[in-house]
Amino acid sequence: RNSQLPISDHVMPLDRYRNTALVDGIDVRALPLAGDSPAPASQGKQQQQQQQHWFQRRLVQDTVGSGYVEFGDTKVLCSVHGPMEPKRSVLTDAGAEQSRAQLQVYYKLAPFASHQAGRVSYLPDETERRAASFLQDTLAPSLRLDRLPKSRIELHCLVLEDAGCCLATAVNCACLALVDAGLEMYDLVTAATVCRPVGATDWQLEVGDGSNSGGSSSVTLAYMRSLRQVAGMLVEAAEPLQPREVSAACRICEDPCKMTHSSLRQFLLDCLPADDRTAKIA
Amino acid sequence: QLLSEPERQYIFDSVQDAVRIDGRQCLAYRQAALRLDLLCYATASAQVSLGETDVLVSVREEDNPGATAQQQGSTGSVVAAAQQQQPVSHPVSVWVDCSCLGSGPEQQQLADEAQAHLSSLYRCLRTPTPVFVDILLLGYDGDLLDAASIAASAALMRALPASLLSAQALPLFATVHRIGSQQIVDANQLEESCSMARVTVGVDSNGRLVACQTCGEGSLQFESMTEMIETGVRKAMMLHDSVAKLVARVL
Repeated sequence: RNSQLPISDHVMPLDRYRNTALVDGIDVRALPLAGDSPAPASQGKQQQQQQQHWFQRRLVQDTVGSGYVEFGDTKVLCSVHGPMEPKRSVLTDAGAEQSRAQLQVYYKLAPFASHQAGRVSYLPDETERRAASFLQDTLAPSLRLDRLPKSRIELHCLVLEDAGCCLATAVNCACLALVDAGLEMYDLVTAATVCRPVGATDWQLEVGDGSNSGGSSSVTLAYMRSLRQVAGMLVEAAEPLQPREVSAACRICEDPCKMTHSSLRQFLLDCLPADDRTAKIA
Repeated sequence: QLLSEPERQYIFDSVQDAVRIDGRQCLAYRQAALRLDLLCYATASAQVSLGETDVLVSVREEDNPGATAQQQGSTGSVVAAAQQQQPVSHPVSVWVDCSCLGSGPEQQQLADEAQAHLSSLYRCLRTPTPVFVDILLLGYDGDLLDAASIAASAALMRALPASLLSAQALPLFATVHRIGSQQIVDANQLEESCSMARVTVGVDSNGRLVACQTCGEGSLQFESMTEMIETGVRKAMMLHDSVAKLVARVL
């Protein structure tokens, strides 16, 4: 697939190694930018209170599957590698432990990604490790890991810009990448975050417009709509919260999760006619 | 933990009948011991053993007036800085060490997860001087977070001045596991490997949540998750009573 050019070739000095085509020759420069009208043309622009998701798949060429999601200004890119040889440790039992695939999630903010924190270090820090384990716990219930024994699946999640609602967007993007990789799942996992500044009473949906400052409590819920099950829940409290407030916040998250589920599902169905495999079957 | 499938099924089935493998009730904690003031160079220290899980915590308060003056950006002398009545608020810095268990990736992952949870537990706590909480895991048989939070909060109760403690209640963790249709509390290592999902709640002594997270490779229904949160809050309040009584007895 990659053209092998000799180094000392007397040709025009074009950048031949950059892939300008995404899927079936669509030029990257022709894609609308975030902030313009999103992909489904029937949706309104910024008049709607909630911002729309922008999905794209197969962005990274050399991976099994990849997904890219924009939610407002927040941009997350996920790529899936595998199935590959499992990691062996001394404690791993040869029998039962390897009846399922191991899912390993790596989560990283790009150095330029954060609006507030300035330049982020290129080594994962505590927040990123916590986000990686949250992603792992959230995606594992939905993946059919028992279909791929004695193997390992790696999911690399890179946040290109963090303008709020970063973890929920990463969950959505990881789900898209796993579907793109063709891994069997019980259901799509979608997530949403609600936040509340210190001292306020109402929970607001967190959107990717950079309006959420550091001093607010947030509740992130990852939900599987068809199964009606919670895949993961994370509360980051800036002040002590009553238990019923946390339960109420989880309930408020349910609707945005369902809407994201519908739009992701519709996007995947719309991708089908352009898919090579389906064309060959037909 | 190496468990065969029949052993796993045995633990699962007996928990469904509300019988745990060590004979406890489903919502009962193991015998716990709390020892205070073991280390002489720490501001305060505590050791908690919950069954075989053994956690040693040291709390050090760096009360270096020179450092505080630099952080406040004052140009006056050290004495003038100490006389200023503005407390610079520092978050509590937590470090978890699992090296006594071994140096494999599983132990490192355990330490990382515990550190992330405990940092989020003390996120609301602000101290005028930097406070370092170092948690050393001496033995592990499940339920690390609850034991570590008891030890760290007991040590912080000894280390911090009473004026600070009255304003900010110190939180404790309670972890509730779900095995099948039963909830259990204070799971040992075998039960943890059978559990599908767990909810860890950090609760202060007023019954309010400061941290809440679901973990594990299973999913939960909304009602189950809400029930587990409520159970966790109840158990954490019970732990608060016990810890307060123990610490008061020592003082």
